[in-house]
Amino acid sequence: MVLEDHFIFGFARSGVYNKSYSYPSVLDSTDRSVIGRENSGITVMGNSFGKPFSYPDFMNRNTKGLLSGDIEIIPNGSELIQRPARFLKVIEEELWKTGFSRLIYVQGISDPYILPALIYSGVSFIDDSFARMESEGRIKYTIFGRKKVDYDPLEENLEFLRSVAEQCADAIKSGTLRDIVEKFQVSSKAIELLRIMDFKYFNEFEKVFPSRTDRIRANSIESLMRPDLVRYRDQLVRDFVPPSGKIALLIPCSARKPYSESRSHMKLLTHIGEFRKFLHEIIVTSPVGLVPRELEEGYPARYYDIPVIGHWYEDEKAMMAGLISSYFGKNSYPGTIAFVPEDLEFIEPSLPDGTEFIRGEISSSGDLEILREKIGSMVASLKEKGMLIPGTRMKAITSIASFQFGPWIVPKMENLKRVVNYDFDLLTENGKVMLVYNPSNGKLTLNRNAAQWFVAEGKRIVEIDDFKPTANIYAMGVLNATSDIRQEDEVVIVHRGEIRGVGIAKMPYEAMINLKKGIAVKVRN
Amino acid sequence: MAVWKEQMINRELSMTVKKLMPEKRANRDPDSPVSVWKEMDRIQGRPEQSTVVIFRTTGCSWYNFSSCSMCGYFNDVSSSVTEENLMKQVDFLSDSLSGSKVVKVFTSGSFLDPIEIPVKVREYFFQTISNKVEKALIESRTEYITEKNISGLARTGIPVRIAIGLESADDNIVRNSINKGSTFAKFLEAASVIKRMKLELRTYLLLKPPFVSEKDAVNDAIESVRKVSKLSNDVSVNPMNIQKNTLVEKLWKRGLYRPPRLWSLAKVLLDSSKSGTEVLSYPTGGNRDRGVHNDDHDQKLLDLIVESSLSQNFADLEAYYNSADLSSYQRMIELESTNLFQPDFRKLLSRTASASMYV
Repeated sequence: MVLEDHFIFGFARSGVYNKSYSYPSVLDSTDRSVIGRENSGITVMGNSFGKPFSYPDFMNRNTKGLLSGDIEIIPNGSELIQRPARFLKVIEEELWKTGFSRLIYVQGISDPYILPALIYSGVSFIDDSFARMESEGRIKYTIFGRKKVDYDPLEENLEFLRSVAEQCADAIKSGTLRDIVEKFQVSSKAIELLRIMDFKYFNEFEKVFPSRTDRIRANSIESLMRPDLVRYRDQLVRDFVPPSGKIALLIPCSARKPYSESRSHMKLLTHIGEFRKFLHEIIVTSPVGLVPRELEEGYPARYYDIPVIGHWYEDEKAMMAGLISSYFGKNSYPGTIAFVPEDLEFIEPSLPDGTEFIRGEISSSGDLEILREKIGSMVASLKEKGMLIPGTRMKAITSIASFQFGPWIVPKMENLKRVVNYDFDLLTENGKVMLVYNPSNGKLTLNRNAAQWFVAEGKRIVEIDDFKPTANIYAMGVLNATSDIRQEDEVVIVHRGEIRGVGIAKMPYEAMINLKKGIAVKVRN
Repeated sequence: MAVWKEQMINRELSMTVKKLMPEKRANRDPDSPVSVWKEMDRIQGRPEQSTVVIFRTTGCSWYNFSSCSMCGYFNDVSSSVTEENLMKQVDFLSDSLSGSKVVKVFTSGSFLDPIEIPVKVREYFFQTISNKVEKALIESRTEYITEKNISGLARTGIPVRIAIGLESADDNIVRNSINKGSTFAKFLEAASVIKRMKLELRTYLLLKPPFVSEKDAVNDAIESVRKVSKLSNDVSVNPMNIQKNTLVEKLWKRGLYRPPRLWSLAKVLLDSSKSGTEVLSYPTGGNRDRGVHNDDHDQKLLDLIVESSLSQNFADLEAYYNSADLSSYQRMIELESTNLFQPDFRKLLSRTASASMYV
């Protein structure tokens, strides 16, 4: 076994090939033991590739790469990168559609400013030949870009290039690779690659993107299209079941998370506290979009930072307005109130008919008084008509569960009892714990007792070989996995219909199925 | 039309080349040659002025199928050229000799192809010039070099040197890079016919075909010289020059091909100069973007290459080569050779780099 994966982030993988080549990395093009040219042809990391003639893209629209063992060489990176869309088309065919079965080595690009985007696309190896050539011309790489120097910058450049690869390898481990690619905007080629991956290949990336990362630093407009944020917005409209019998109240976000712990929200809530059980508070924000109060403790709502200046870009406005339309198209409320400052006024046309629209600032007690009065009168009139149902914490957790697992789980939740244990909410059935809600990360964890629900639904199932799972299940032991599983999701471990445990997915489902090495599932009990 | 054997042809390459050829062949004056000029050569063993003619013909038989990846001579052909037209072109040449004792004939194809140059015209050509010149050089593809087809050449009254564009002795390169539709075996066969007929042979080699690294190209040229030196009266090394409407031109325009460096040509000549035969090069387009050139303009080097080719004395070229600092050139071609894809490295590198910020 020569491919040893350690960590996976989307299509990017870190590990060791043939016990000696770590990836992602920059191959030394002068080391004949790494890239050898002999009469019999070229050998790369011990794989022989014969003596191929490599034709340009316009001659050669079908065969793209040269495969030998687990390594596929894409020779014409220098040509393809001139048109990033073509480059990614090739990566789509050769890598994304091949289910983690090979490592890609792209020749012809040694550009440190493009490397993170290449790694994010799933490229495992490049070589340093172009960097060496560029150094001949006394161009030095700096963190801000290229610089003409009057000495030989070769060693510094190679060090720079290697350190970019190493830091990307670390970022795969820590789950921050996406942030690096978004923020490292020295080359427009890198941004082009990222935007094309986001816009054109969202479905491909959504399938492999983890369901949570450490943190979202939404410092650039590209954050808007992060696969996990796009997925969140889709899931919110598709799966989230709001509590019934409540008035929707749209309010602005706060810098501090969760929002309800911010000064502005605390102030707001003290004004409307008596009505809260009849209100479904929904926070309007970017880049997340809309956050129902139930989801404020979870991912991504609690985990993002964005520079807030009281002004939104058109793309953000379009995203928020579009999401509000879809959300209220799917979910109907007995009444809707929007209380937003000037910079969110643009949402008004997207709100359902009959919405009470209040332009106001939380900092203004006068505005909050107006809000309070409006809520008061709407509550009174709807109560009279019997259209309001007070909310409970159990109902809120049910909504969270619908978001996290899908609306199918809502009927199961109706039979559960909530038991408070320290900071956790234990959800029990006949005295047995089924699910546990952890407010510190806004996530429900599965207890083995609830596993049968998932098996019956055919959801989140990892089929393993016949063994008793201990701490970790390695990819070798995984026979199959359902396609709804994302890295960091709660999963049920099964062998031939028999439940063997529950745990957290540590790889995309295709990687679990196809890889031999690496941790596929961390087992809980 | 000849049947081309599949193993000689890379269909993908052939079709790409074919598509780039102009569909309509221009109808230019069929009574005058494409061009006539004088240049120095040494096919009588000493430098002397020779007259060069390019006859306008219906073109190379290979054009019916495809073309060579670097050859743009199809741009010069005419769709209808009769025997009478060709004879008038011979007369034109005869009037243009102005004392040259050597004539070199190019045809955008094969002089010995009886469809391109009917035997009657061939005979008329030799009748017309044999009193005026002492030697002739003609060009042909190997398939026309058969005892039957060329038996008349021994009786023309003047010695004839036949030039064959072998390009490379490596069949893989000829098939997958040049698209010549020929093989080294066919060359050997033709060379032995030429020897039996007591004619002379000039072998053309192409320096740096597309899709081959410059380092491999240099080695291939040196190796090819070695393989043909005993059979050839001389070997002419032709560094790539970019001709119109060719695959190589399309590659070059997109930054996907760079003609060889003068240093590479010098190396081939110096390494081959002791091969036992005369090795020479009169580069077309030397020191221009479309021809052999170094990264930095070097007129002296080009002059030395031509002078030493004519004199067959390589001492000055060797001294110049040995005294130069070639380390950067050598590092570049070494780095280039680790890549499977062979673009104009500097050009693509600077295009990619220009997408990034500069401090």
